[in-house]
Amino acid sequence: MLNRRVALTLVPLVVILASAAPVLLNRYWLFLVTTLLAYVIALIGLKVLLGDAGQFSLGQAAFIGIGAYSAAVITERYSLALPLEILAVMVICGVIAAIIAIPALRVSGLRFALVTLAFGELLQWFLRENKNVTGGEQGLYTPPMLLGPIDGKSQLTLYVVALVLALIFSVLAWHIPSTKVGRAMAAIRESPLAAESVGVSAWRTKLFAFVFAAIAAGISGVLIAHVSGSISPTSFGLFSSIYLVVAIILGGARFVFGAWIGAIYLVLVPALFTTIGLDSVYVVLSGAVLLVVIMVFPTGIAGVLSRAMRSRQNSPGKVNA
Amino acid sequence: MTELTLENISVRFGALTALSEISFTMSGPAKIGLIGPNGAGKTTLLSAISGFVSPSSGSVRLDNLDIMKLPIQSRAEKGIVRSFQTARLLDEETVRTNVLLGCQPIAGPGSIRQMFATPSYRKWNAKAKELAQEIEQIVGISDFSNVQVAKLPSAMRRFVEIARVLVAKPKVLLLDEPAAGLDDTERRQLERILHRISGQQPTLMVLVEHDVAVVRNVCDYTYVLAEGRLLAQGPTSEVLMDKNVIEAYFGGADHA
Repeated sequence: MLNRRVALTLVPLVVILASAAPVLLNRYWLFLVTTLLAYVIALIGLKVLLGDAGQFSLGQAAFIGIGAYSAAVITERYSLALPLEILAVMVICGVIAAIIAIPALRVSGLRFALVTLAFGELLQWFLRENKNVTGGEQGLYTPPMLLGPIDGKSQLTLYVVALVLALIFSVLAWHIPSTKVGRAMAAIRESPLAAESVGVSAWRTKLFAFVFAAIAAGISGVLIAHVSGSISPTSFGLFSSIYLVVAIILGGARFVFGAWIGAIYLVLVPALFTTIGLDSVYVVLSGAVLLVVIMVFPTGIAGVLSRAMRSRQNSPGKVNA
Repeated sequence: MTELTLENISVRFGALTALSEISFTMSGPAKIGLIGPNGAGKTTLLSAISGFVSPSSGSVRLDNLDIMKLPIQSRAEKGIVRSFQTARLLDEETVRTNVLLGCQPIAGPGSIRQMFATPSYRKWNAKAKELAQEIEQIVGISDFSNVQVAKLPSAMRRFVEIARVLVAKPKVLLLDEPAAGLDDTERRQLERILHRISGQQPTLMVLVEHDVAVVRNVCDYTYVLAEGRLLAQGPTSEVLMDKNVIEAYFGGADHA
C-alpha cells in the first residue's frame, strides 16, 4: 500500500522532470543525466542482487564493461540497430553470468564476492591483452547507436532511450519482491533454513538474481558506451564495482528509488563539486557521508525517506489496527 | 491416503548414535504423536524424513516412492513440509509474505513470467493469495496480515509458521514442538487449529512434542522413542498408560 502510494507520486514526478530535462539542460548536463540514467539501470541490477537476494557482488562494473565493449564492437563491425544490439548484449551478459554462476553460486557471502572480484580482474586482463579487439589500455572509440531513420548521433535520442530503459527496469525491479521468486530471494536472504524447508532452490534463485543484475549492467554498458563516445578498461575495474556497491547501499539497497539516489551520488554529486571547483573536497566529504549513512541509516537514504513518509501518513488521526 | 514408511533408519553423528534401526509405517490422514524424553531422537527422525539429516542407513518411502536420495526441496514439492522448534521466519517481511512463502512448492510459471506478471502467473498468484487468506483465517492471524513479523510476540510467530507450513496443503506435515513456548490459552488454540486442519485436509500430521497433554488432546496414535529406539506404539491413550513408557518418560514417577 505504501509502495503503491510512493510509486504513484514518484513515478509521474520522475517522468515530468525527465521530459522537461532536455529543454532545461545544456549539452553537458544532458550528457550527465543520460550517464546517470545508465547507472540507474546497473544499480537496479545490484538492488535485486544485493538488496533482494542478499548476494554481495564485486563484479557489477565488469558486466557494465562487457556491455560497453560488446556495444562498441557490435555497432562498429556488424552495424546492428539498437534493439538488436541490446538483445545481443543481453544474451552475452546472461550467458557469461550463467557460466560464472556455476562456480560462484556454490559459495555465498564473502567467498561469492571474491569469485566475482576474480572475474572482474580476469576481464581487466582480457581487455588489456586482446588489443586487436578491445584496443588494449587505450580502449575504443564507440560509434553512435544505429536507430534506422532516427538520428542515433543526437544526444536527445540517447537520453530518451536511457530514460525509457531506466523506467522499464524500475518497474520490473519494483514488481519482483512481490513475486514467487522475489519471496524466494527474501527467504535466502533472511532465513536459509526456512527457504530450504519450503522447497526454495537457493541456487536457482541466486542464478535469477545474478543473471538479472548482469543483464541490467550490460544494458547500462551499452548506454555508457554510446553516451561517452570512448571506453577504456579502467572504467570497469574493481574500484568502479566498489563504488557501485557503495552507491546502492548509500541510496538504499531495498528500494528501487535507492538505485536512483545511488546514481545521483555516483554521477551528479561529483560533477557538482567539479563545477564549483572543489574536486578534492568531494572525496573526503563522500567518505564522511558514507560513514554517517552506514552507521546511522543502515537502510540507506531511500529507507529514511520511506520511513518519514510512512510516519507522516500514519500520524494525522489515523489508527492502525 | 498417504503412507510414510521408515525402514531401518539409523542416524549417527560421529560416535553418537542418535537413531538406531527405526522401522514403522504411518498412514494418513491421521494425527500422529512422536514423544520421548530429551535426546530420544525425535527431532532427528523428523529431520531424516524431511531431508535435513541424511541417515547412515535405511530408507524413507512416501507412497512407495523411495525419497531417501531426494534433496529437501524435492521432498517439499512431494508434499513433505516441516516446522522448526524456534519459528524460522522472514522478520523484515509481513505476515502475508511469510505465509505466501509456504506456496513455493506449488508448481507455477517460471521466474521470467513472474517478473513480467503474465496472465498465467497472475492466476497462480491469485490462487496463492486465496490459500493464504484461508489459512490465516483458520490459524487466526488474519488481523495481522500486513504487520511486519519482527513486531509480533513469540506465540504469534509460532502461528505464522504453522500457517506457512499449512498453506500449500501438504500431504505430510511435520511439526517440531509446536507448543513450545506457548501458554495454556495458546496451547488450546493450537489444538483447535490442528483439529480444524485435520477435519479439512487429508493430512498425515506428525507432531513431535514434549508436552504430553497436547499429544493426548490431538493425536490418535503415538510412537514413543527413547535413546534412539522405538520403545512403544499404539493408540495414544493406551501408549500413555504403558508401564515402560511411564518408566522411560517420567522416570517411574506417576503422571497425572
